[in-house]
Amino acid sequence: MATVGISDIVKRFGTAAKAGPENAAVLKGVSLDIAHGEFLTLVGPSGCGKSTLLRIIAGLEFADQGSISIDGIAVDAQAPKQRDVAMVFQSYALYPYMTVAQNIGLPLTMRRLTAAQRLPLIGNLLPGTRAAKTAIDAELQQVAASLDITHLLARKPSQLSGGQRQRVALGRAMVRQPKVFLMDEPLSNLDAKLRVQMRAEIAELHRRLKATFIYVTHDQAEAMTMSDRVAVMQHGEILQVAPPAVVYRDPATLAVAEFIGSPKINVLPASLRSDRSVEVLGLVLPLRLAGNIGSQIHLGLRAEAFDILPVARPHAHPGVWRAQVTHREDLGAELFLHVQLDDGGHRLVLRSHHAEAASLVVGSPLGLRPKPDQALLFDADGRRLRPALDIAGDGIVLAWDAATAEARQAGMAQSGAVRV
Amino acid sequence: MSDAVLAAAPPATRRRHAGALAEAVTAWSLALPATLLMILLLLGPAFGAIILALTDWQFGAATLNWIGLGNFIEMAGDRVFWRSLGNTLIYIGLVVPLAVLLGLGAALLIEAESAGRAFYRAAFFLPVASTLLAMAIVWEFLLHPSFGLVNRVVEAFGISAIDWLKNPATALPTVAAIGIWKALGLNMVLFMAGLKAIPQDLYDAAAIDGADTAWEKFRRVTWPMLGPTLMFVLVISAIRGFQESFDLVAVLTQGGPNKATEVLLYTIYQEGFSFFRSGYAAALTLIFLAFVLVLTLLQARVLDKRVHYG
Repeated sequence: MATVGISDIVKRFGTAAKAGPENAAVLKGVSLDIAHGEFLTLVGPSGCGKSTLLRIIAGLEFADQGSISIDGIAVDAQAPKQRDVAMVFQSYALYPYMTVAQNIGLPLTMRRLTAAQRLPLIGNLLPGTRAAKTAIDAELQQVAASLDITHLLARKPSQLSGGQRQRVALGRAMVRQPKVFLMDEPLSNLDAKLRVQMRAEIAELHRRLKATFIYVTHDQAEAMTMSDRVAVMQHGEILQVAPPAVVYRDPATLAVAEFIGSPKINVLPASLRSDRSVEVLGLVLPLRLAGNIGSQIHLGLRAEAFDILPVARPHAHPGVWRAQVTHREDLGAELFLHVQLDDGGHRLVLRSHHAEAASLVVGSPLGLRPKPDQALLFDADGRRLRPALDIAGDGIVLAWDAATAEARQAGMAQSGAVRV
Repeated sequence: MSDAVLAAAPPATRRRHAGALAEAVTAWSLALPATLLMILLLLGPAFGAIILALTDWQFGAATLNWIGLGNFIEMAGDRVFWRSLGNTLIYIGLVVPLAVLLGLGAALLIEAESAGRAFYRAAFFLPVASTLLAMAIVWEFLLHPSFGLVNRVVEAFGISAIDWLKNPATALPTVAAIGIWKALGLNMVLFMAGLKAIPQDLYDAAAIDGADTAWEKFRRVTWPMLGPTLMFVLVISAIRGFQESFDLVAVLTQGGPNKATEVLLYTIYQEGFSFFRSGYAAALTLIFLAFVLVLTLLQARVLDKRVHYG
């Protein structure tokens, strides 16, 4: 168990002489504090700098600026082995010429035996070698048993399946009982089914070991299902650090909202009316925005942020978008409807269930009403806007009606003025 | 009888028989050109050499006598043959390990630093690409007893000048040294390719596991991961060594002084083309072939299995 402090890390690749886009900083001053025993996931699209950050924590790469500390002590000058971290690689990085037992035992062999004791044959004659080797063997047996790979100890990595190699790589990391586990996309090379299984196993392992885990992935599902906190990264910066549920329901930026969540969030262009309410594709939402912001904003709506209404008669429901089903994705327990709005041609993905979507086939018309309390608003630069929900208002109304009402009010005020 | 069975068989089975036959015919006709060429260019001459080795035929002679193993019996008592065989093994014993180790060393040094990589690679590879005949002239100048650069350097250390290629004690090691110089570049290029194929992840894993000194990285990652390359380089070096020994000896020493640099291929050449004893030369050739065959089998059978992990 250990805390990890990441303070203002900057990393550039390439030489300073070659200024240009390829010399842009990979990490632009990243800061993050990770607590004792926390499972923190760095998630982001490829090239966002998450693996580089992990390698800097491990000591495999050096930062141009900033500092890494473990348990409050700066480790920037320390070699990887002195930092007492263990790393699991995407490729597993097992030594192909060694047996599973030798692979798992190597970190202990390198630390507990002297260079002379490690020599083949001669090493065994030196005092203490036998005892140390017996102890190492006992420990690796224990680790192998906990990972259920005891029967594989005599095999070479080439004789193992992907999932088994993954366990051996975990075993090699666990055997030393390091302060911090670093995992660089450890599940990417596994098939989908095994990935889901290993996800649960790694989370369980974390609970059992109570060690600090820093886990890098581009898969938002892994980030959401395993972590205590998720750090969403993009273009060398951390956009948001929060528990998975918060990152999903309350994203700090449009980029976070778009990256987290499957299917991807629906984003529609919206505008701010003069009375600070939000108009989107002909509907006015009962939301009020304060502050000095531009009139063009983005409205993010998750797949579940809609009420789906059957359309019996046109114009029967005011305050509703009319759309057509273009595709149906039936996942068994849930169901995704891809729809196209009747005017403007915007495409949306909706989460539904069988009872609701029973009569909806490709081509069916339907009505859609966004749920204002689940609407996520962002300004033109993608920053999150937090509107006040106007409960006292009329609910969702047609923009045309709202305009008429305003005009009527304005007219009344005007006529009043005349009367006075 | 079989016709009757075939006729009695259901049509589907018959079709399958016909299909299998057509497949076999296609396979053989596709393999035919390569098979014919192999028989014509490899197996035929080898078989010819075996026949020739059992006769006393002399080049250009109208008659030949079947002498069975006579040539091999003569060989057993031939001091030149034993000298030649011994010299060849000494030459291989010097050139192969040193050219392989120095080639590996050069590859590691060049890969360790990116500056000047292309230059060093080209410089070390030059002897491989250059004509041996031209290079031999350069070496003769360098090794010249009175004005050669090598002797100038040696004299600076207080050792009197040596006629490197004419002194029976130094002639063979000198030829071997030039052989190493010539073979090193190719080995280096092969090792560089092998080094590039080692995944960086393994070095990273070794660093985290605690194997982070240069020696430990070499021992835990580089050396074992180079196994397949090393095996290939060893066998190629040995086979090329057998062949290149002839070029060097023919150009620089002609087997002298006093047979000190007589090697197997040069003896074959002399017996076959200077003395026209074609039968005897063929018998020597078989001995040479046996060495190459053993080396090739060694690569294909024994060591391939131990160095490939995949």
